[in-house]
Amino acid sequence: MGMLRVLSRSGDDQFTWNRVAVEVGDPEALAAVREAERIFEEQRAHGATAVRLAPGRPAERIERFDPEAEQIVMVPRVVGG
Amino acid sequence: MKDIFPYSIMLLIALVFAARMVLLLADWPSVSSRVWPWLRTRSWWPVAADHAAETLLRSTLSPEDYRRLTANAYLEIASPTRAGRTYRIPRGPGQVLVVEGGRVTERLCLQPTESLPEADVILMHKLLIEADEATYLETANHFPRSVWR
Repeated sequence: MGMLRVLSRSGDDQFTWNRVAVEVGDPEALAAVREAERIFEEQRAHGATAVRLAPGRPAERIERFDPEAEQIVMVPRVVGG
Repeated sequence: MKDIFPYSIMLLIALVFAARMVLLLADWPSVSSRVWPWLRTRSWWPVAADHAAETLLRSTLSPEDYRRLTANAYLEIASPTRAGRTYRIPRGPGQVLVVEGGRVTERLCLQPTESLPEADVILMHKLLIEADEATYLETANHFPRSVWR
């Protein structure tokens, strides 16, 4: 499963999609990916930073939505305090 | 009725005293950094946002890092680009300390534009430092180290 997590005041909002089903073109899975991508872009437009997480690998900043990512965390816009 | 009245008063005083002691203890940093996170990871914890954030933080950190965080009330992240530098992220309010060669060299202040649960703020600092340290440093306000540290 792929997962998009958006850090928010409610903890984190999660959006998932089936990566295997996406590869075989399952319409439901493709719709889930499109929705996750829409949220990704919406958050980016608000200044959020997207970070891709994978087991055993350091966190990596990404600029484009990656449907093959295991987990993407959207960190809301930050400012100097 | 007359007989139990003094005992009721004594019981009430004892309960108030015990509650006050529990609250005092819970405010002690070394206790609060262990107790509150543990409570937040329980499924019955009433604040869903805190529960979700603490669970996410726990699943993202290695067991050793999470144990250190609960023991020390801060999380240390090694700089991905500068050898010998670590960032000390506090649990709860406070600035991120930059530690080099065992000494605090400066303090950083950076905050999200929207309110986040405490555990999410720790995760936010960790992810931003690891994924894009240069932008993190560029965005944060830098303060000189405190004279007493």
